[in-house]
Amino acid sequence: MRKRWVIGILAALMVLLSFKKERLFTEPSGWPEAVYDFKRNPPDPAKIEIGRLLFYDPVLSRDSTISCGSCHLQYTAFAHVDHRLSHGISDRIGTRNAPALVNLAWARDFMWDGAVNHLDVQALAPIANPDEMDESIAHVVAKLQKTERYPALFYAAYGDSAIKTEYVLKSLSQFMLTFVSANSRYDRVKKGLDTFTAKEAKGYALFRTHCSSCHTEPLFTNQRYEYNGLPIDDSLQDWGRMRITRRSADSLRFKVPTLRNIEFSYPYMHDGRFKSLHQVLNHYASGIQQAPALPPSLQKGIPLSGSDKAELVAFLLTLTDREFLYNNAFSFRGR
Amino acid sequence: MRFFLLYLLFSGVIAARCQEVNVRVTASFSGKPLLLESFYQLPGGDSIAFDGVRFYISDIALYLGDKRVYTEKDSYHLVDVSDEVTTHFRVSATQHFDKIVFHLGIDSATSTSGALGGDLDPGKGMFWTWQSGYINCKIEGRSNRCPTRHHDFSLHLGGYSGADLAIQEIALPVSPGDIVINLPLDKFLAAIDLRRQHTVMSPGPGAVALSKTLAALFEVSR
Repeated sequence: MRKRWVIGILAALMVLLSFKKERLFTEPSGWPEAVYDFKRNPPDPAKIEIGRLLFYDPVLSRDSTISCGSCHLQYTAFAHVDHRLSHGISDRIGTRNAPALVNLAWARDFMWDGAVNHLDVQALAPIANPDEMDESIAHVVAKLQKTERYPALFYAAYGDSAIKTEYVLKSLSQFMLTFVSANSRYDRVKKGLDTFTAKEAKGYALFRTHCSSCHTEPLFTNQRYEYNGLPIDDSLQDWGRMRITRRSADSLRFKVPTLRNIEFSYPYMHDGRFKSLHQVLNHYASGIQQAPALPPSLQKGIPLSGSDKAELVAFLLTLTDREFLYNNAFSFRGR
Repeated sequence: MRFFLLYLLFSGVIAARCQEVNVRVTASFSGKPLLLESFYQLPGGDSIAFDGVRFYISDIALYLGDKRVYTEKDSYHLVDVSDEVTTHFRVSATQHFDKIVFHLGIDSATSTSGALGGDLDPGKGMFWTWQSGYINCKIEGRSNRCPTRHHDFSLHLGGYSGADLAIQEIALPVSPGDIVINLPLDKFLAAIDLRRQHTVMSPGPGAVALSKTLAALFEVSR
């Protein structure tokens, strides 16, 4: 009898806990399981809120001028609109295009070359980079400790008013993990709640034929490193994944980016060389440069007529998720 | 009375079987404790001074023969030879042992586990920010043997995956009682060539080779 009670209470607790996780982090139905290990950093509203404050707080930079939100703007899917290369402290210019931050719970590694192996340690890179925030995490922690607001918030969330690197990084992860974009027109069509126009449907068919081996649904990335035929930019000399693995086979490979919200995440490519989707499609149709790493699907380029390109663009625009782009929970709300 | 005798007997057995063992990690140069910012003579007349010597010791275990008799939990120690607090720790041996086994560096699973605390806090300057992973060992200083700016040398040894895996297992025979593990840095400098091996700041064959050289030099002193 007693055993039954215990089991009953445990079951109720589990339901409650799963409900909590469900509300704070939702895995859209039909999606693969998230990669992020939530057991080590269980979603908590107080921690998400600290993450939101930190994300928009320039205290992370040496001279308090640059926050994460400086280069990752919500309305452009957390990419840096109009900047080919990221723009950091003292007007310094980095070497790569700030990527969109979307569906990060499903990513195994981070950065265009996969240099970062876990979402928790991602923020260390821009904080320390002299062209971005030019600061050290130890000094960030010391600065936060001296503020009026943060020690109390960390105490409420972690039971410790001595702020630790671990809490700062886990809070940033908690906030970024909430960036789930799964309610575009494409998603509603997939659920049977909407329909594609004839043009979008033709674009989707072309997409399935020519693009989806790398931009795999539902995340619209296979999370791998591929060469897509871009000639090297002589001024940047960026060899991509090879810098990390030192394998010549990885020369010029970069992480396949998601296409979700691509309407707003321009400019495109790791160095932001293309301003419009038409420029991107023109590259795949007639700009491919041959190299050993080029996947077979791109070796002859993608044969696209003018109307094919228009249909593909029409489909790509269905990946815009306005609920995501304008979700108040992700926004800067003053300090 | 009988119970009291029994109690005495038992507590005696437990006391004999469960003993606190002090472990101390030191670094030396030519048989003397290493002093940072102090100039030492290298064979051939060159001089050398160290600014910092820091390394991770992890996964400490005690063995009796081939049998593991003690495993330290959450066994990660960042040792800074200039900070005495970091060079001492205690393990509790429940049985006799004749060997200590530990690792120089941090394993792959821990290196890919996100934000960690304590000695694994990435704010301790032993974590690469541009490419994730712990720096297992940092040896820094200057020597007129180094053809670098200010004659600086910076050996940052790390790497956690594939052929770049730099962590090293070290097994040393010990006798009962407290354990002093020493790293004789004069021998390290005799084994490498500072004219070439003065700057290592990323994973790769250079870091792996130096890690192996370093690990082979750890010794037990009494």
